Amino acid sequence: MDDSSQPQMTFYQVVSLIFSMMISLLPFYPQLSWWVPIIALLLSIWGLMISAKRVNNPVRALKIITVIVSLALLLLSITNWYSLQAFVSLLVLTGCLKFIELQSRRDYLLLVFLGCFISACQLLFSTSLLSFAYVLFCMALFHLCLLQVYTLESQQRDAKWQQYLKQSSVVLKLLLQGLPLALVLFLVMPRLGSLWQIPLNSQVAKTGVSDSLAIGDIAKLNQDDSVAMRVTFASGVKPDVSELYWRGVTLAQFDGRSWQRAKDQLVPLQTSSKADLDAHGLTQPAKYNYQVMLESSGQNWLYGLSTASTQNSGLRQWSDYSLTNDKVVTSRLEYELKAYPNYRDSKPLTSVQQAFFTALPGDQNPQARELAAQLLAKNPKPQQYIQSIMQYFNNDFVYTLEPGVMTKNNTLDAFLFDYQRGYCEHFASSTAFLLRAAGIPARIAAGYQGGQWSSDNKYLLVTQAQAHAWVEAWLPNQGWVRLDPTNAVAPERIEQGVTSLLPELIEQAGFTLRVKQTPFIKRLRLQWDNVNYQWHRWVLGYDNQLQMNLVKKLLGGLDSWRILLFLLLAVGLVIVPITVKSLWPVKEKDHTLKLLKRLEKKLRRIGVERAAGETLSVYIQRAALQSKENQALLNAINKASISLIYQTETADKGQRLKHLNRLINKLTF
Amino acid sequence: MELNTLHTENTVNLDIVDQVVASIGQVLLGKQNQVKLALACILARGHLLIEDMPGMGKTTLAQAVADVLGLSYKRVQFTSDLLPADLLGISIFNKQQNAFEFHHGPIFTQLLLADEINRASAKTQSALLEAMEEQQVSIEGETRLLADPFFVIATQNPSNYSGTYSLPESQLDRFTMRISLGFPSREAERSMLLKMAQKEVSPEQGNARERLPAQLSRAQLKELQQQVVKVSVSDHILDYLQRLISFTREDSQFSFGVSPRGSMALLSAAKAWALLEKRDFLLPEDIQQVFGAVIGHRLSGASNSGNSEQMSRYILEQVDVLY
Repeated sequence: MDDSSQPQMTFYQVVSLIFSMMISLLPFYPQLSWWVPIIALLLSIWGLMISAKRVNNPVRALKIITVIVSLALLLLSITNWYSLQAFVSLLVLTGCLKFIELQSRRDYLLLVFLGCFISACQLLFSTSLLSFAYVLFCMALFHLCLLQVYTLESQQRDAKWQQYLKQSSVVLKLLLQGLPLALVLFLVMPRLGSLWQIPLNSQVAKTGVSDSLAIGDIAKLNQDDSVAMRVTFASGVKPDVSELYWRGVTLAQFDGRSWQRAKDQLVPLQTSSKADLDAHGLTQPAKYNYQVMLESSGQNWLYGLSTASTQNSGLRQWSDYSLTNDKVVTSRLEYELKAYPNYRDSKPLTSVQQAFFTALPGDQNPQARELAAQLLAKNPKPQQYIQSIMQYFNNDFVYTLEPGVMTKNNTLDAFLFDYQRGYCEHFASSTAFLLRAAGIPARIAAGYQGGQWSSDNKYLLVTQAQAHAWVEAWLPNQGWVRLDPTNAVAPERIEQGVTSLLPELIEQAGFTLRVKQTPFIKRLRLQWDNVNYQWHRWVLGYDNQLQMNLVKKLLGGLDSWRILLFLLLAVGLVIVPITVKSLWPVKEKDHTLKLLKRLEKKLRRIGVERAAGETLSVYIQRAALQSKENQALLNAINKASISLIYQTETADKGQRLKHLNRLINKLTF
Repeated sequence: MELNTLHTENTVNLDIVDQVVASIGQVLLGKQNQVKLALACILARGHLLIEDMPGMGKTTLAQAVADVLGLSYKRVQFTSDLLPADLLGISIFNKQQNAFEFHHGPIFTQLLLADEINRASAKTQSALLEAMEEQQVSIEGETRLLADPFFVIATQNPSNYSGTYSLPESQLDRFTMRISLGFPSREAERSMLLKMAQKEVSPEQGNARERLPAQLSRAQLKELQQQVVKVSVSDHILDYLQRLISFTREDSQFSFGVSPRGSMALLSAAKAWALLEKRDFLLPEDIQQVFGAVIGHRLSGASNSGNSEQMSRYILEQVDVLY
């Protein structure tokens, strides 16, 4: 836009704006196509050259060509137009294209505001505390740019860096002044549902728990330290680590090689069973009441200690007592559960169920079947049989996260007789296989095991590294019983958590891993997670319900006048001190001027007001005319004050100050 | 005011200043303030521009100042066909010596009276103004120093008079002061007329110059100028001065504020005024006295003197003297 009436932007202003934009765009680049950062860089260099007058302002045709080229690139690289990526790419591109058109103040302001919007869009990708801090930082940068527009060049008398320093402090002050208002708005503004939605990235790749399990495919299990969930126990009960089996899904469908979630077998929990569980709850209070804050998992099942019971209407419970959410968990989800560890659903299995839970299709793993037959011959009772399996594992097997790839066929045989090394999945799937081979109904349960207590012991942190698989066997009169073969092989894995074993488990334990294991770093990590937890819980998890409760508690009611009053109060809290400060008479540091102000105050009492352009002696002489009796004194004051203020070279200043002070004190009005 | 502090050591007796003022006052009746301003301008080593209508005594004042200060002076009547060479001098071929010989122009003097400067073309004006700034002239590739001291007292008619090329702002800025004389008071004019009547001189003779005796020696003038430099200035005064200057830069009435050269001129002129008041320190009164003369012609948008006078008075009224 060529608007000559508007002031031109200076090079420094343009540099700061483009710099701020580049900073605010950084977090987007991993999400966008590879060419976007390149285009952004080229456009910013072009914009800087234009501003430095190295290159002329591009003609209209050139601008249009640039836009068309960028749009064409976008069209080619975006596959799904209704995705967040497409939207953000377009936004970023728009902002960068404006670099070559930063001539007038209007263009500049437009880009500043667009920059603020782009910065806020970072929160679409990540809502962590660090991202939020980064957004704030970007906002501050843009405010700095805004301030620069409104700072007159003629008023800038300091060096450039001093100016930036000064302006930064102004921006900081402004942001701090806005803080109380922002807080109050956060507290009382109703949370509106989204008016429009852009589908978020749903293919969140999680390495933790999945609904299918096949051993042998993965040679090396990578440790993922990201948070899976955080659990707060009510009334500060801390369960023993051996009780912390966070059951997610059961994998009961076996096709000879892999275990799947038996979706068609799963039916909602019968109301009779539910009633039974509730009845149990009446006689025996729940051992644990806890709240789970589940991170985005990309799946819809939820984790809980068995046997879980929920009052939450949004959750659904299935016949295997597993819980699911109505929707796939793509953002943080909170739910509350109760756990009855002693409850057993000992209803007998139907014949269909019996067949399903003992099915071993195909004729794979003959050696394993033979082993089962041998063990069963020695231990006909299910309990003994289970014991013998555990013993079998206890003898020669090694727990490791790097078992290596096993053959495609008869993987269980390979594991049981050749490799004899593996992690929980290997042990769980072979145990389940052996159980089924002996006619004992069995299924695999997948979830997490254990957890770390936060630095303040308030909540339990469960990471993806703690993903675990174990076995559930159905025993007559007992119902489904949890068996953990991994426990038989590596009890420390259960007692202390998998990470404590890591250095031994991973032969080439990297340096970073060893650093991660030092107690200091561990503590720091836990503390940092605690901060994040509080952030998620109180800031991001602040929903309408919490809001209503809090506002009710704070204001004693939800009437609109209370909220309005509260808002006004908050605004006043900011505005009033600023106003008072600006209107409050500045405390005079200069003793001389202080004295003069006192003199002026006294003379005002006899009706002699000083005019702005009036010199001191004219003023005092005017006063002397007014009050004839004080004429001599006023003349003395005149002489003393003038010698004090304007005669710099004679006599001691302190002495003269005192002298004038005495004279002014003598004025009797 | 009884604040006058007399100098004791190694200085010219300041009473001599009164004599100078009184002496000039003999030929320019009732214009003591303007006379003092003109003197202050000279003592501050500045150039003076006198602007008024014809016949108001501009030239008389200029000549009187030159006489009384004992300076060698030349007078140039500026006309539209005056060329820079007429002012600066020219090299003429000398046949006997077979060489070029430089003939000094009228600018090689201590005090140059540039009469009706705005009648000359811009080219000539700028030749003069360059000399004023640099205290030297370049003629035919050779740099020649001007006399020391070198003053220019220029007179001009108000710019809306016919046949004038008004001085651009950049050139006006080089004059430390611009003063105008204005009509004499009734009594002053009366005694002027009386003098003429009693002497029974014809108007031509009346206008003919009667030379005033010099009151100051070169050394004394130099000493006075030294004393002007030594006048002490307190921080409060500088604050006030800066308030005044920044007011001209910030107030919307003025399209351009006063330049740093203007603020320096204001300070040195005020110091000279303080010396004329026989003080060795600066008071706000000094600044106020010289303010209109120093600032008036530098304020853009205030081309004619009546307007600039109002403007400087407005500034003085708006800006607080003390804080």
